[in-house]
Amino acid sequence: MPPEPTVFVVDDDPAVRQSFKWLVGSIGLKVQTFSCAQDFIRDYDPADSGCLVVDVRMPGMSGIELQEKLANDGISIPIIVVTAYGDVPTAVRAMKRGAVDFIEKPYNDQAMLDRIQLCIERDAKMRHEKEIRREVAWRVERLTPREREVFELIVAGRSNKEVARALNISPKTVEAHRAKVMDKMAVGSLAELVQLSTYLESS
Amino acid sequence: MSAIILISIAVRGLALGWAVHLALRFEDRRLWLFVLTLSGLALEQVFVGFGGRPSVLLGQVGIRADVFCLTISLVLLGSVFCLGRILNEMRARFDQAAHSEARFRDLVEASSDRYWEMDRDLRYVWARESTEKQRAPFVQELIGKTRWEVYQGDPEHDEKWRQHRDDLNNRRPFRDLRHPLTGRDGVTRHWSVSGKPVYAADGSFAGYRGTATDITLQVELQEEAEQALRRSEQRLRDFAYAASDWFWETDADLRFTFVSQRTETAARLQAPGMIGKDPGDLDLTQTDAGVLRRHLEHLGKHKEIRNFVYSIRQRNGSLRHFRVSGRPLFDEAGVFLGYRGVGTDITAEVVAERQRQQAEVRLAKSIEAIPAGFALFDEADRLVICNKEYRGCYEALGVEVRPGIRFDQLVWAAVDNASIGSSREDAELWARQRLIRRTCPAEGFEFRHNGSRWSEVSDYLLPDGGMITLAYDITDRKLTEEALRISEQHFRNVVEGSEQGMFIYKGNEFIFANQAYADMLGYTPEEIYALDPPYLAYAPYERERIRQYSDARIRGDTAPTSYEIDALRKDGSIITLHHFAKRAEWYGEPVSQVAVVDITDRKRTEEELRESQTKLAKSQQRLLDAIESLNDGFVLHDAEDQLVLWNSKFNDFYELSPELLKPKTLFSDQIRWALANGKLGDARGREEDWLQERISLHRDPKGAFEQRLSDGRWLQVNEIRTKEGGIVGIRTDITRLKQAEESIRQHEADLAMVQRRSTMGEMAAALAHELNQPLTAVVNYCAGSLRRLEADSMSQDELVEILTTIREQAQRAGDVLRHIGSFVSEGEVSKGLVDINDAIRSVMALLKEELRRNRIEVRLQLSADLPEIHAAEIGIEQVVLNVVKNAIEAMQGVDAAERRLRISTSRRAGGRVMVSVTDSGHGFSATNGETYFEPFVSTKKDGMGMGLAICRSIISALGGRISMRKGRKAGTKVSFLLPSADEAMQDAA
Repeated sequence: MPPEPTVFVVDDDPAVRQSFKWLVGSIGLKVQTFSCAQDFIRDYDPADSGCLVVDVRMPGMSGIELQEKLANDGISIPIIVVTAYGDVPTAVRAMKRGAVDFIEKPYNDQAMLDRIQLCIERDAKMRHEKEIRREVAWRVERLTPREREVFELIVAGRSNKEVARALNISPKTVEAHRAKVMDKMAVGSLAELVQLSTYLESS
Repeated sequence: MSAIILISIAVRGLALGWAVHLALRFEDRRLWLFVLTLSGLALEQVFVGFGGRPSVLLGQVGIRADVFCLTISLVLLGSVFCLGRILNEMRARFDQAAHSEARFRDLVEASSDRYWEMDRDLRYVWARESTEKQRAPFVQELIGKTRWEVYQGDPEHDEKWRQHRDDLNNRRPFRDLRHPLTGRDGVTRHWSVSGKPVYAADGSFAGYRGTATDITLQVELQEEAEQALRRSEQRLRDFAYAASDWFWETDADLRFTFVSQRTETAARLQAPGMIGKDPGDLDLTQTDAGVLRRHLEHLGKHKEIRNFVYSIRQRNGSLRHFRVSGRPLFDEAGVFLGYRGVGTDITAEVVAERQRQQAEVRLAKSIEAIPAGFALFDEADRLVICNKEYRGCYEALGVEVRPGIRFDQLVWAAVDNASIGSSREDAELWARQRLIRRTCPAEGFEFRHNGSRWSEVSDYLLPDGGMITLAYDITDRKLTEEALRISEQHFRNVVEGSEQGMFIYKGNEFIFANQAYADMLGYTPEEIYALDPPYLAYAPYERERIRQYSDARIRGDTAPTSYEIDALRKDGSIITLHHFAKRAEWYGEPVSQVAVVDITDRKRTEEELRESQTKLAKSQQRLLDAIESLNDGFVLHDAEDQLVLWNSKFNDFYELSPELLKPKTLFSDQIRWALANGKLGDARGREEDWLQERISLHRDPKGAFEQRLSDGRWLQVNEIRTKEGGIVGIRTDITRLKQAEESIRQHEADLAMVQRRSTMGEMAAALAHELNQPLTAVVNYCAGSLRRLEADSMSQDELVEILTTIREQAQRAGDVLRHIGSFVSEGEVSKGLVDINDAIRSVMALLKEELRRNRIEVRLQLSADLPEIHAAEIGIEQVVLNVVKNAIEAMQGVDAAERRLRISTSRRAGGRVMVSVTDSGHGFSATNGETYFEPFVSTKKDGMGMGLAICRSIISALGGRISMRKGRKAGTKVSFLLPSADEAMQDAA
């Protein structure tokens, strides 16, 4: 089970930080606050799950800039950008750049909390998938080149006979390879194998 | 001693001698042993025979008999051995000599029949026959006889014998002495004897030694041969007799001794009569004197006579001719005996020969009489005969012509003399061609030789394979032809060089065309000649005509002599020629002789003149049409400013009265009328100045300018001075352009608005943010607290703490709103003494471009003696900027001509400064005069309503006052009064 999700809050205004902590704390989520984007970048461990709530308007690095930086660094923590009146175009820009969500101040507290919950769930799912993908990639790595070929043809829906013909080997050999593949990929059925193959990065 | 002993000794001695003989003979060592034994036995017998006395004697002297015997035997044995050796050697030498002698004799005997030797008395001592010739008795006859007995000669008569006797007596060798010898059997044999004297070792004469060969057979054969010769001679005589008419012989005195006779000639020759006569007796007066003299000389010298021909007149008067040959005869001693010979009557031959010669002479004469060179060649192409003329041809070339020379030799000899053609190559070519022609003789041909001479040569093949060659000297003809050619060339040169085209035409072909004519048609003269049919040089529609003319002229009918005609050039273009034609003679034939002048250019010039006149009229009309069709107004005034040309568009703009639209109307009259009738919007209000400016600008154009008509149309006027000093004026309606410009300006204004709005928006966003922060905190605290309270997980202390925080945040929001002015002029701005005029000027500089774009006329009425005020300059500038920008926006709906902005400053009592900004814009409704200074109140549909609020907060902060009221006519006047620096200081204090 991954560690407890945390709501990271970056806002230059201490009152906002404190009040936000108070609000999120009311639903029992862990909150970690930062007074500026630089502090967050410095302290954040990508392994930490959760979501990031960041004000768009801040001295120094703005919320948008922070989001860009994280995207460039390949950190995929979900982000909720908090905007105020007149910042709508900026927020739209942020959306286009891949920010997950934005919310305008002053906001409805319930809406805010719902979004936080949603982001946390999404983060967890994303991390889980990433894990599976890494596992599958590792299993595929263990296949021999021939097994890899057999694997790819099988998941492409070919029968043993077709594979044998395509690779110019006997169906018996294909059968042997297939058993090896199933074993190495730690699956019991073809359906599972195909499902696993969907986690493979398209090569 | 007894007799028996003696006999024994003798026997043994004999045996010993025999043994020695055998040993010597056979040279066998064993025989010598045998001899030794025998000698020993012989010695023993000697000792026995002497009864041992020798032994006693020997014993007396102390020598043992047996030893003595043995010693003696050994001595004897050595002696005999040595003697054997010597004898042996002697015998070898003897054998050698014997062999040598035998070989010599064998040799001699082999080479001759006999070998003989004579002693010093010349007596035969040895004679031997060669083995195969057994004539032993004959040889035996010689032995013992002397040479003189064997060979008896007559010393008186026999020269040979005398010679031989001398040779022998003087001991000289002799060779091949031939003499007969009659043997005892009476048979006479002939011998050839050779001999050499032999000398003994001491040098004394030892006799002769020699050989003799029996040559009887040869002698007999020789005699037979002589007999054969005699028979042969007889046969020769018979033959000569048969071959000739008669045979004759003379004696040494040349008197005829024998004359054979043939029956049919005898009578005529009266040969018998000749016997006893000599040739000198013959009547030889008819004979060639030279021949006769040589004949007599030959006779005198006893030389052979060959083919002596002489003639004798017969009694009947006819001449007869004879040929005689003869040889002198000599006896053995070389004494002349006379002549013997044959004679032939050759009268018939001579006559035939004479006739032949006469025929040849006649032939030669007749050939010579031929005026051309004539030569007859046999089938081998060797010259048989030729005449002087022909010979002369070659002799002129330095070639000797003699019968028998082959024709090709003649030709090549001529070539070698390099007198034909200009070079050796030419000459060889000529020679080859000449020889080829000769192999297939056809018609005659001409050639030049020796530089200047011309010959025409014809070959005729004869039935017998021979060939007759005739060569005419055609030099004169050639010269005439050449003269004609030169004269013709002169004519051609004249005609060719002529600028005028000329041609001669024979009805169906060009026989002459000069260069000028060819040039006119674009051909070369050669191409003209090659035209087929020749009428191709003329336009298709002219061909029939020119043919008819030409035919008529050649027929002798009348035909036009001067006419124009279209010709077709090689390049296909048509030109017009003028022909001057007449009938002429060309080598006796009627032809058309035509002089040609190309009149195309002249015709074209006439044509062009006509065309250009038409064109001018057309182009003028076109010009007028073009001017009329212009979208722009066009007007041309001459150097005196009088109207020359205009189009209707021009008048569309000004709508001048018809009397002002006549040529020679003055420009100034036109412009005054337009002005007076209020057509010109630009000039309104300043009519007189405008008129002066306009007239001077017209006289001295400075490029395009814009002109506004009263009806709102805009013109671009572009006046240009022409070369003649006139003025061309183009008026382009740029109203649409102006409208487009206006819309662009509007667009730009919108852009500026957006920009300004965004700055305002930014300001509002910042304000909102400042307000949102406390509000957000409040919301968060409240929501968090509510949830906790609902969950009943919140203590009262916490509630109090949170509520306190909420109050603080709410107060914070109120502060933000309260301090909106300081919020706008955010931050600490240093205040100082400010020159209001400077602040206004810098703002105007900032807005200069925007004002220009909006075509706003700006008037600054800035008082020169303003006191400085104490304020933040940037704040003052912010206020001015806001107010002016509002003014610009307010005037956008107003006619561009009516957009005016006035900024004035003035000093007021107490060192205060009053600033007024007046615009001619749409103004504002009187009801809301003061409310515009409240935040978020705006007259503008998308305004924020912050501008004047900010202004008021800034001015108020300085202790000043700002007000807004309507302008005198229209628009708005915003004024603000700023306190003096002293007052401001006191406030701040």
